[in-house]
Order: sequence, then structure tokens, then C-alpha cells
Amino acid sequence: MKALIVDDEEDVRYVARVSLGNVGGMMVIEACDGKEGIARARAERPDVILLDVMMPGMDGPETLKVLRGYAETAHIPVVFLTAKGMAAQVSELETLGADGIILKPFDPLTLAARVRAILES
Amino acid sequence: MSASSTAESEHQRLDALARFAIESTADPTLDGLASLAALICGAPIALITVVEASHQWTKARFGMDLGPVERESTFCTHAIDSEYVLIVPDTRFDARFATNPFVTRRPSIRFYAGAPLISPEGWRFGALCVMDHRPRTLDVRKVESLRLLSRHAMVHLQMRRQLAIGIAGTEPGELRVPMAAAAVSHGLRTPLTSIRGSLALLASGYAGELPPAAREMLAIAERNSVRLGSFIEDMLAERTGRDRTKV
Repeated sequence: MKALIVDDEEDVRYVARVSLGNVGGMMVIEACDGKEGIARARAERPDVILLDVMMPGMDGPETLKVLRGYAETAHIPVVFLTAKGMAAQVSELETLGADGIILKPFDPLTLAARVRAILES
Repeated sequence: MSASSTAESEHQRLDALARFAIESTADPTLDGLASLAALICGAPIALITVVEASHQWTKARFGMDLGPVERESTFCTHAIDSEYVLIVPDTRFDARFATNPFVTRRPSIRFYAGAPLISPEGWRFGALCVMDHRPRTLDVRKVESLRLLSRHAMVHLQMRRQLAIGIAGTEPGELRVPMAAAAVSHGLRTPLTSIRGSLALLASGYAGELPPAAREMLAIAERNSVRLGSFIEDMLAERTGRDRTKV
């Protein structure tokens, strides 16, 4: 399974990369912002995209809409990876059409399993 | 308006648009309004667009299936700057559009009219527009019809939003999370993700076997990062007067 991590925080990308790749056995590719994320998703067609919500410039919700607009990325499952942990913020995110939401901080030892569970649900 | 106040206004517009959370899924009602706009104006193309920070995307369409477009290439980014309906009788003779790829190449748009989608608070989120492959204009009645249809589209989006809020079980007032608390949530959780993640991976043996003293110190760091996380959750719950969200 190929996962694309889109997050502007290099350290978070590192932890997520190790969590999904070394621990979870996935192939992992990365992007540091929404624009690069869209380009990599269109070029490499990952099986799932982990998308940070708050990024400078193009944020997660906007990136999601653009991904849904391209035929080649419209059906790729997207999981929001977010530090917006307050209940009202989560409720807002739930209306935006992502396939799942994982809150930060996440457990790196179970991240891959949680992503797989979202994909199977 | 100064550049900084313009940037601030755009920031506020994008915040309002994010709060409105327009879904990217197809909406037959809005497709119908786009078709009606095309019929009334006698135009081969009509779109309902949403203008975000970097891209424009199409919410409803008639006559043209347009995917996401970089904002600088779009007509509607100019429509949302207009007070009323933006009409461009011939794009080739308008400095804003003459070199636009949608004009110089297929689909060779020569005429554009766009009525901004205006939120109840006055923010312009996008536009209902009609386009043609030949230069032309619209009479006053058609311009007014386009404006009214854009209002209908906005009311429909507003109702959809209220319905979505109802399904999510959240009252509109609850969406107004205090900005300071929201910033604190993001500012603390993000570095904590890296700290707790790195510690957990170290403890799992990802980086190799650690000597006993290092394992002891790692356990201390892990315990205290968990305490810090709990403290952040409790503090945010207290600030917002809500139950804490499970992590």
C-alpha cells in the first residue's frame, strides 16, 4: 500500500513516515504543502492520503477539494491528520468529505492500523 | 485599500469560506440553477465556482466540465472583486483576460458575465457565471436574472450547510470556537505529536536496543509527555467549557 503524507511540519512527517513505513509496512511518499501534495497525488496515485488540516497557503480542506476535482485523484481516500482537536473543530471537519480524521498527537505504533481500519470501514 | 488591509480582508474571506464548508460533491439543484442561467442568458456554458486561496473549483456546471484551475487563470477571481455583476463583452479587448489561456486557447472564451456568490455576512465566495465563444453582452433583465440566481445558489448552499450542521449534531453557535483556544490547540498538539511519536518509536526499539539507563530516562520522558498532553486537553476543555475530545 502506498501512502502520501502531506504536512508542513518536517518532524511530524518524519514520525508519520516511520510509523506507516517502518512500523506499518507501507510505501510512503511525502509532500510539504497542499500544492506539492496535489502534484504528487496526481503523478503517483497513492492508495491513501494523510492530509494535514492547517498548512500555510493551501490548507487541508482546500487541498481536499482540489483532489476531489481531478479525475485521477477524486477517488483516493483522504484522512485528515489534524491538531484541531476541539469537539466543534472536529465536527466542522467531519462535514468536509474526508474518509476519516486522526487527531494529533497520534500513537506511531498504531497509526498504520488506524489508517487501514478507516480504509476498510 | 492598502495591500495589507486587502490581504487581511482576503484572510477573513477565506476563514469565512472555510467555516461555510462547501462540499465538493455534485449538487443537482445547483447544476439546475447553472442550466437555468445558461438558458436565460442564451449562453452555451454556465458554472457555479468557488474561489479558494490558490485554486478555483467548480461546484455546478452546464456545458463545460471544468476541473480545478489555478486562481490566477480564472475569470471568477475578478468577479468576486466586483460589487455587482462583472460583464466582459469581449475578453480579447480586456487587459485582465486578453492573455488568459481560456481565451487564447480552447475553449476560446470571448464573453463572460459573473454574479458573485455573496454570503450572509457579505463575503464573496465564488460566482455564478455564464460564458460564450463569441463577443456579446446581456440586457438589464438578464443581468438581474443572473444576480437573482446567484442569490438562490447562495441560499441553497446556506441551507445545505445548516442541514450538515444538524446531521453532525452541532449547533451553529458551537462552531465559533474561540480563536485563541484554537491556536493553542494547534500550537501545542503539533510539537507534541513529534515528541510523543519519537519517544514511542525509540521505546519500541525502532532505533535499536537502548542501554538500561537510557530506557529509564526514556520512560520518564514518555510519562511526562503524556502528562503534558493530558494537561493540554484539560486546559482546552476548561477554556471552551466543553468535554475534552478523546485523542
